[in-house]
Amino acid sequence: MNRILRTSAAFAALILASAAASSAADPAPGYVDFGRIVPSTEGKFVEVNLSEGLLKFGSMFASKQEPQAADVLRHLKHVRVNVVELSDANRSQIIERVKTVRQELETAGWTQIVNVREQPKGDDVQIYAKMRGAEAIEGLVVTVIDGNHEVVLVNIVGDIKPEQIATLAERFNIDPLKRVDFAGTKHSGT
Amino acid sequence: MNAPATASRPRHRIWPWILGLILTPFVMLGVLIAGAIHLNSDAAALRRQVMAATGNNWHTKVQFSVGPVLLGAARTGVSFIHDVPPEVREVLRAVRSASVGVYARRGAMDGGGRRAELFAATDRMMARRGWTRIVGVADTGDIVLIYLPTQSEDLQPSRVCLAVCNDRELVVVAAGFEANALAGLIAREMDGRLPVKL
Repeated sequence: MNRILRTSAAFAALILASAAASSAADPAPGYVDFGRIVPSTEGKFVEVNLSEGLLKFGSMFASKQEPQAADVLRHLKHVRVNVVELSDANRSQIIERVKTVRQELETAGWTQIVNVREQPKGDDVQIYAKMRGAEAIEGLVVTVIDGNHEVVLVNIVGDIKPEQIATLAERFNIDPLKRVDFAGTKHSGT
Repeated sequence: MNAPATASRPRHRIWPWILGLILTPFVMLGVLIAGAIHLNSDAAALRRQVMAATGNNWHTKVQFSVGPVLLGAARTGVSFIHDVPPEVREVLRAVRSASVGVYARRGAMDGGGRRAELFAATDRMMARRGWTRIVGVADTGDIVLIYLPTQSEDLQPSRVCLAVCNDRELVVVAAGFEANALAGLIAREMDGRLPVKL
């Protein structure tokens, strides 16, 4: 009897371990690892990391008054937001990080859906989408270098319909996303 | 010849039982009071970590814990009172346990420039205890750290642990709650609008 129990426990542990390992090894397709971003000695720093469970929990709040927003939230898997105020201590490192993220996304075949560069030293906004066919977006990455003041990185992972982007932008107050006209055009500014 | 066998009656020692019965309520009361004036282990660990990273010149203003028993008793008590606002009943229904500590700083802030270390060390310590940070804010001396259990990431959250700190005060909270009841309460308070704006 003990042997059966031990074998069952070992088998269950093996299944759990392999499930955990596979889930750790295979993040959702739209997930992007920005790396570890930490606050510097001064300046504003905000990091928000919302998991699927928490997003579903959030959708419960809104289901009556904001059914559209609730529907978008229900289909999200992960939201990460980083806002970092730039200072002499972190400016070059953080901007370099953003540029690396952009390069990696382009290499990985993400579609650039917004590209705004206000010269000189204005906003530098680039938004990328990971498409699944023409009907759905698996991931969105918003990268903003706000002059020399602030950097914003947002990664939204889930099953997002293009027409839901406006709701997402409005609901989470992501200004650069409000500029997206999802007809497959890139916006370039100077 | 032989000595008469005397059947020795077993001696019932009753005094230890009486003493035990008398002392038990006091011991239980002591345990309850000790538990009620201390933080639970997660909140205490978070407090230690934040205090260590921001200088140890803190003193306790308020510190208490309420568990399911006390909150259940409060729910029962409140159910007999008619003019209690419905929000109070809902909060009592939603919260399962709470551990709260408020601390004030003596003197100047120490370690304010080591925010990165504070975040990293606190995240490591909380991760070892099974918590993941979902929100981290550092802004002109204010620090906010909010953690949820790592294991229940894909489920509805049922516990939260947070620390809010500035150059004068530190507040540490660990709470257990019933997710559906809390969602209903928040939805009503927010008039059905999402409380989140990124």
